[in-house]
Amino acid sequence: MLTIRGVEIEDTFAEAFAMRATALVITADSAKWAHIAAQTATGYGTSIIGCDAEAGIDQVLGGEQTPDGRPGVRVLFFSINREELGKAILNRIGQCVLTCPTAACYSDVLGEGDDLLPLGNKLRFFGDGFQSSKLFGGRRLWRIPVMDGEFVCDQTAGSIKGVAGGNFLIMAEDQTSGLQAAERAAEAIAGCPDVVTPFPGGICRSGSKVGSRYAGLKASCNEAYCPTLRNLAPSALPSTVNATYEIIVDGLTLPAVENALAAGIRAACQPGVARVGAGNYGGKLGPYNIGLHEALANHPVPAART
Amino acid sequence: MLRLSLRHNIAVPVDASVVSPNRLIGLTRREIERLQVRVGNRLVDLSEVFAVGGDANEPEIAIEGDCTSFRYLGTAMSSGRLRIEGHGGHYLGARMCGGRVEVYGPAGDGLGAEMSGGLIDVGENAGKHIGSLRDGHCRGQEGGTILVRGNASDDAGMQMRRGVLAIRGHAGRLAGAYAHGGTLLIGEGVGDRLGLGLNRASIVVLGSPPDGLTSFVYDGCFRPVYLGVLARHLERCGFERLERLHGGCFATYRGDLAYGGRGEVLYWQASSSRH
Repeated sequence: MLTIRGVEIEDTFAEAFAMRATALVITADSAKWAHIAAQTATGYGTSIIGCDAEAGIDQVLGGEQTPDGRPGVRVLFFSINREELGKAILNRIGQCVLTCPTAACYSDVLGEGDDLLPLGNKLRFFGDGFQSSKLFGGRRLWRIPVMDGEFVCDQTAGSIKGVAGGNFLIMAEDQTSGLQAAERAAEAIAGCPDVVTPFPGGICRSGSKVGSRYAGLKASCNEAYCPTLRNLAPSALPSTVNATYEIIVDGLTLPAVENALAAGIRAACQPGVARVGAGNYGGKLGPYNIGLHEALANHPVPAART
Repeated sequence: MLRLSLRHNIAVPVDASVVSPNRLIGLTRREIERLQVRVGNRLVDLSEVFAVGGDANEPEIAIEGDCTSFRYLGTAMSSGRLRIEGHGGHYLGARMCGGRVEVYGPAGDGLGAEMSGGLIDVGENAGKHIGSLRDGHCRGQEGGTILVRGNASDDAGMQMRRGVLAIRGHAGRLAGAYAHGGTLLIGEGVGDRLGLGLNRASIVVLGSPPDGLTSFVYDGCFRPVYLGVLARHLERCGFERLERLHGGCFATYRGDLAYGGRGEVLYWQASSSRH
């Protein structure tokens, strides 16, 4: 039995699946406005079950790391396919970044041909004929006039095959210690590169199962992990567990997700946590089965950002 | 790397359009030596002009010698690297669409004329019509980046359409004339008739403001975000950091009103007051 600081790590796997992903860098005159734009653009992006995309903030960037030398934030978006992802980022950037004071938006994933998502080449029409473009070393930028100057964004955004749904479950003796452990896990994952935790604060309390007894509902409560249903339905919870939180990780690559899961699990193993498990569907849903033990063994030290 | 060493200085014009990575890579040394170049009014073997050394397995050519009288080195190149230690001659990199040309010395007229991609980096001054067009043609630079670390003579960026032309020093008269697009950056002062007939292009002047933008109108003082991207692009290409691109603001003039007025001339200012 594998334990970390006395917390049992179940010998199970997280079932993840492929999604189309992109990374964008949002910059602004100040870190404050870059963050506001990024937060707004990634809002309502928790689960593809009910949102157009899963989204989150990956990294805060200094001026030396951004394309235009201003403070920025790197955000990741995931959706079921290229078309849906394209629609999602177009709406989100158009409504949340173009509208945000001083903000600009750049692609942070290389792509070509079919991997490219529309961005400035569609948003430019907001310029109503007054837009113009710039070509710097193969990078085409659109300059769209707005009331504080110009909104600048890349012509297109690259996209890649990402990995979504990497997860682990923190089973705790009570809600307070469970939430503290989950917060620590989310914080640890925030330091990992190329991943986001799209749920509120990085934590999900409503882990779901596929389907429902009600027609038309794609997902419903995962009663096996609900402590209040322990005596009404088959339960996966040990008798000492009274609260469970799920951490869901989407990433640009499988190693990035594995690394984040390992970092999160280690951080979550604190007093008050009884066990760490993972959500899966017996290997039937997604192509990626991330064993918790394997992830911890493969990533003994969290990978640093480059 | 293929090495071409000039045997002796040549006073008459030399059409060296054959000297380009596209044309030479993959050829044997003997085949290269037998390529024909026009020197004045006669065709001669390349080996009469250059001593050929190294091999042409890699897409990289180094030229040693003063090529002042040469024309069309690196013409229409699409990839690889051409390094010239000395004068780069006239129409260097004309019509190139990719690759990299580095000149450790000055360059003559017509540098990067009608280029559409790639990078030309000139270590010293450049002549007239850089990033411009050739006689009888109507479109200037259509893409790519030209860096001049010294001064440029007249007609820089004339009729340019796209891409970047950055001059660290001064530019002569008629810089950016009739440009329809692209970005012309001038690190110091400019000659008269800047941006004559400008339509859609951007001219950024970091030095002293020029006189007489008679057919331009003052828009205001801004700090365009795209200049940050331009600065980053230039630094990635190896251009020394231009501090003024990272601070202050830019008095923006819209024009040329006699030619549609969609172009812009930006002058660097330390503060936002109108000069």
